[in-house]
Amino acid sequence: MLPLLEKVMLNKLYKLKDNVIFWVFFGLILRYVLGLYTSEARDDQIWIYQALNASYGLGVYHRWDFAYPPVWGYLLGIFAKLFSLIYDPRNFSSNINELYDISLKTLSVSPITPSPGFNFITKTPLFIVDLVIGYIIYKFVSEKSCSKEKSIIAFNLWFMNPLVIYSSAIIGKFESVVCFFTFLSIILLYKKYYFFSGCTLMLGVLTKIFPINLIPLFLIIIFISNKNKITHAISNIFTFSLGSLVSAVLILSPLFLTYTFENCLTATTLRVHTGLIVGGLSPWAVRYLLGYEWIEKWANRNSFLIVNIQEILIILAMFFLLVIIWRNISRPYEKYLWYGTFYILLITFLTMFILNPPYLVWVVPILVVLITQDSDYETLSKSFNKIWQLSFLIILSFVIGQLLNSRLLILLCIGFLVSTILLEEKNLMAVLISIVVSSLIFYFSLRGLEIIFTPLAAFSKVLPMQTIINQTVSFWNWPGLGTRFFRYDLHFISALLGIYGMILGIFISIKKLKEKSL
Amino acid sequence: MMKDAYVKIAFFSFLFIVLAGFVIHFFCLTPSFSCGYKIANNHIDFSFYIYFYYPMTINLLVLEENFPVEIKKIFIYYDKNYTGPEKRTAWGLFDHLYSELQIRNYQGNIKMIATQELKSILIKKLVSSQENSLSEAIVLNTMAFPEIFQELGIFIKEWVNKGGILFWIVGKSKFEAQNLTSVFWTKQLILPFYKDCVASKNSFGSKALDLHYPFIFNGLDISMVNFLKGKVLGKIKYRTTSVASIPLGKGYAIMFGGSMPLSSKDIAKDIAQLVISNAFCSNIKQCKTYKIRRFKKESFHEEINYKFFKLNQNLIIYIYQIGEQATFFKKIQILIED
Repeated sequence: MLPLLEKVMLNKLYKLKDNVIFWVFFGLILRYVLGLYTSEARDDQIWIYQALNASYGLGVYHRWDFAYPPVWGYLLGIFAKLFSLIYDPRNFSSNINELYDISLKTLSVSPITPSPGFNFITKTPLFIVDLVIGYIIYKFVSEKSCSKEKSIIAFNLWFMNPLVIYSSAIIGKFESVVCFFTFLSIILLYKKYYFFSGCTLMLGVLTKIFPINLIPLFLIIIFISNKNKITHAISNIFTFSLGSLVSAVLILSPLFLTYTFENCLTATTLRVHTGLIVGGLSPWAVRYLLGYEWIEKWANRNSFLIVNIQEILIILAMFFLLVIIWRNISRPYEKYLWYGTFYILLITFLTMFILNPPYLVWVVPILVVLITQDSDYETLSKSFNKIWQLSFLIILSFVIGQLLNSRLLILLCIGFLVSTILLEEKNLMAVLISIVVSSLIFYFSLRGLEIIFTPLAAFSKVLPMQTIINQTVSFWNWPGLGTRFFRYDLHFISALLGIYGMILGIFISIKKLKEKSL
Repeated sequence: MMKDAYVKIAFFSFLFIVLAGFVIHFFCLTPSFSCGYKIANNHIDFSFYIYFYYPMTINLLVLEENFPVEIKKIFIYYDKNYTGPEKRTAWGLFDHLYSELQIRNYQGNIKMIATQELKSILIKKLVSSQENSLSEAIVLNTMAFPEIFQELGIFIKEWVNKGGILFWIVGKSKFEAQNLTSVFWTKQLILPFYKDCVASKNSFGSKALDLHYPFIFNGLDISMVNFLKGKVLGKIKYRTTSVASIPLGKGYAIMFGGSMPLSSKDIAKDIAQLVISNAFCSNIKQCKTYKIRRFKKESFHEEINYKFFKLNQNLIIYIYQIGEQATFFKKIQILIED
């Protein structure tokens, strides 16, 4: 009786795996389980301030806490405002005195810790956005491939992607929101809904400024897709621009009407005026190496120069893309849209002064669409499993390595991971894997693994706060091999891996742009 | 066109974001507040009414103003040519202080100044023969002092003596802080700490004013503060406090016992609270905390005994919201007449 029951259950489970609804529920439950008692140590403080401002009746830029364009402020604010009608805003966070010492030592941990209630408020919009992106991928891939299995695996490559889950659920970054608007804009342009494409791209720009780099490419693509009729081309470019303009005016009008637009401009350009911090997964990661520490101070003093160099490099890369398009103008515009966008985003990442790992989430939906076009179901399924196996290995190596106080174990695992990725076939799946793995290594090595559980220690009795503090301090002080600290070693290794993935992506996109086939 | 799912998603997400922007900025259920008072024989019957849509805790302070104070100009010193706080920290303090004062309905000016302007402000007051009122404040960070102080230390002291208000963040270095404060006071005011340099216990002042600045790298010796007839306004630990106000001639030096990098927002909030309430130079006579429930019309009555107050003097009632990102602040001035 029991084996039969087991067999029936297993069969049912196996069938469930092929149902997208199962993954939707599983993904959402996983996100809430991971998300309610975890937080990013520094940025959450800004979200808490912003949520309180909105709840107490202040606009996004009345106080100087928020240094981003307004869309995420609106989203976070509206959720906070609505929830504060039933949930006491005073319970959004707690000031943990024990964390002051570690925050002084690291300058990157905040004693203000978000409560599970606040995590629910701030992460729910991100989960919704994750789900909507997953739906768009699922629908688009099923339209293109007419394969249910392929669309489910494409959905999972996004929705169950460890990097996406980490970014939205654990550290609560709003990269999914930028990604959503950018990706939707590409799909709408592909479908020739020019007004809405312009509209959503502007929403992306007003979430985080970088999608602005896509505007010239989109204008060229609109022109190419209507190249036989110049009047159509001009009218469609006008429609796209009108969409962007309407979007910008309506989104920014509350700021104009409350006289806070100037604050918005100052806040979003503040980093340039007050000194840049360089590093992350960008080539500036060289500053982590011994003997190159001066780069950090130099960059801080030469912010404008760095921003100018970044702009020049992007313009040169765009010009190069334009030459490729010009020489192959007879090819279908769809190719330029997908690979061109992918190319521009990767160039944007590589030239950034600081590339925070979650930014890489922006390219994941594009990568997923491109990968599913080229690969069969079996390969996709294997690659999905591989991403999770490697991610588990990273988590395990950090957990066991930190518990045993063993740098060697972590290094061995990271070395194994890197060599596995380098030995992969040089295709877009390798790009996706290297992006995911490098981002996870960088983030885990930023402050150690334990620090993300401060809400768990602060709002439950599961984990003592002192354990988190001790582990973090010990990880923070591990001396490095080629750098000052061990965590810098890991930053540098992960940056190399990330840069490898991005350069590989750029080469593949250039190759594909030159190919005759679609 | 709207039949396509992608367009629907785009349209509704766009609509949602636009609506969210307008709701956040224009659907502000601002708190209803009104108050009134009646002067009886030896007390004031003060009553107020309040209605909020979120629960909160408020403090009611009754302060006796020793002399009329209105800070009309606040200058924050930052000069990139001298060692000092990082540019982003200095500008962070400026931005936070500006917005905190605006939210508290401050009517004066706030300005960033470099060394040349600092010199002219000091000289202007020193050469002026007019009776000086407490109308100008300078915010200084000790990390900028070693060079500046050699030139200007004595002038700054004289400027305070003539009615200036100095907000002084003394910094992390024991040597600098002790050396520099010795220009102002002959006895040592600073007690440095290298470990456990975060104070968490409230003093009467920090509780009454909801001041948050916690650092005591160079804590201010409480016995010395009392000896100099100052006020303990910060958090306390061991024998020190994180913030203290000390009278000097006709002016005041308000000292913060540490540095800024982590806490420019806390410092800004605390300075704004002190500027608006005038608590650095006034006596807190009464302090009471009220818990306000959401969607409840709450009315309160407070009896203020004024037989201890001097005649023809201002009495300040300061009612404000406690906690992070507070937005509700009301200040009522009552003149005590014969």
